[in-house]
Amino acid sequence: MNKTFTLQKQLFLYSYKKRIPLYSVVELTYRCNLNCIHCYIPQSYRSYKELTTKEVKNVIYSIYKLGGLYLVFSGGEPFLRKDIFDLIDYAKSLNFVVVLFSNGTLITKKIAKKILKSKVDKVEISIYGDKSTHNKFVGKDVFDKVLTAICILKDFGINTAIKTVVTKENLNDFLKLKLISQKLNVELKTDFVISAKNNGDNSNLELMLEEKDLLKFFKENRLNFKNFSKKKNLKSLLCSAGFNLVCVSPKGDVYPCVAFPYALGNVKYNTFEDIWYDKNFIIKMIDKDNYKECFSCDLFRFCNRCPGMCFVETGSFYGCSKVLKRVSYVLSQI
Amino acid sequence: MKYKINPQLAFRKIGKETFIVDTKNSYLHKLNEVGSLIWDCMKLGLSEKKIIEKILENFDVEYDTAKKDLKEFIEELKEKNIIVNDE
Repeated sequence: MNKTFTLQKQLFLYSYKKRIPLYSVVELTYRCNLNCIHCYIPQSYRSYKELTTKEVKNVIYSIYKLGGLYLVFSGGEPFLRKDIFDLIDYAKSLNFVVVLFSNGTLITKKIAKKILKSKVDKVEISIYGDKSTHNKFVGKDVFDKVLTAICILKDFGINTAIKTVVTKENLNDFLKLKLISQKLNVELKTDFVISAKNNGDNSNLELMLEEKDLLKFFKENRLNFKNFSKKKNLKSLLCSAGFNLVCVSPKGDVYPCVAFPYALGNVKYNTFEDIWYDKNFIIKMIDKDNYKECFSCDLFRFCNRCPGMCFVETGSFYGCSKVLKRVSYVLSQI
Repeated sequence: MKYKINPQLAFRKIGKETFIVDTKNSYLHKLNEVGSLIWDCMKLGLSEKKIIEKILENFDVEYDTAKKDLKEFIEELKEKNIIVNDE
């Protein structure tokens, strides 16, 4: 086994056991200059008052003190924050691995130069298809700008990846996206799961591929997430969220994960440390008796359960996500 | 001789060990307790002589052994481009 892989596993398990927020996502803003059809952030959130530079730095420092190592700056569109480079520089001064999630529309040569100087470890840019599909998907004519941004980042030698989510609206573009990533020589990170909006609005889930198309997509792309060694126990139902993964929202809410908008507390009213070490959430998560529906489910072995998705779709930590049930069913058919 | 940590690396002390992430080459390195102490000294820009003193203060080891082990450790870090000569 690769040494780095073994160490990653060791680090993951240790941080999980000790509840070290090794992995963190700091959502800097809910503001965005695009309107992606699948986005989990409700439009009304865009006007929320955001944490100040000092408040965000305090959060980053707290995560650092507790042992955090990997930090993602996300949004909305993080480059809409005027203090973005100040925050990146601060995180890098604390020796974090820093990754940026962006839609690429604001990345010019000048910005790329600053990204390079700030020693950001990776920039992940979202693209959803060819020009017409992408522009339709994000609600604006920006495809050329985004593609140019990726080329600029590559020219500057910045580690760059394309991120996409495959839906009913862009399934036919997946091959084109693969070709784009190959041509640009960048990694293509693909998802096929859509999260309901943070306020529980499930309307965007209609974009999710139907079982037939999902099965075809998995087979064509040789994707198989079956875990045959999965045991029917509590451990198999839990994930990193709240154990060694944390997310802080633009308004200061501390979530177990970006996909799990259950506020453990808010850094404006409590310290990050107090919020993180409050055991109530973990006690709820490990209450085995509440997962009866999961333990009696025939799809248990095929389900990569995400408590966040269950929560936003059903309002309960222990509910069943229709999206995940669909994916599990499809996996059971492969 | 002083050493400078490669500024591109990310690292964190977790428990008694230090994990170093080299994202450019997709490597993760781990330093044990002694390695972590040396790493902390390097972060402070201490000289080899001072680092040996710190090792002797914290661990039950002979001077010659500490000096030899430190030399080997530094060579390994240099080989992996984790540190560079500072002067």
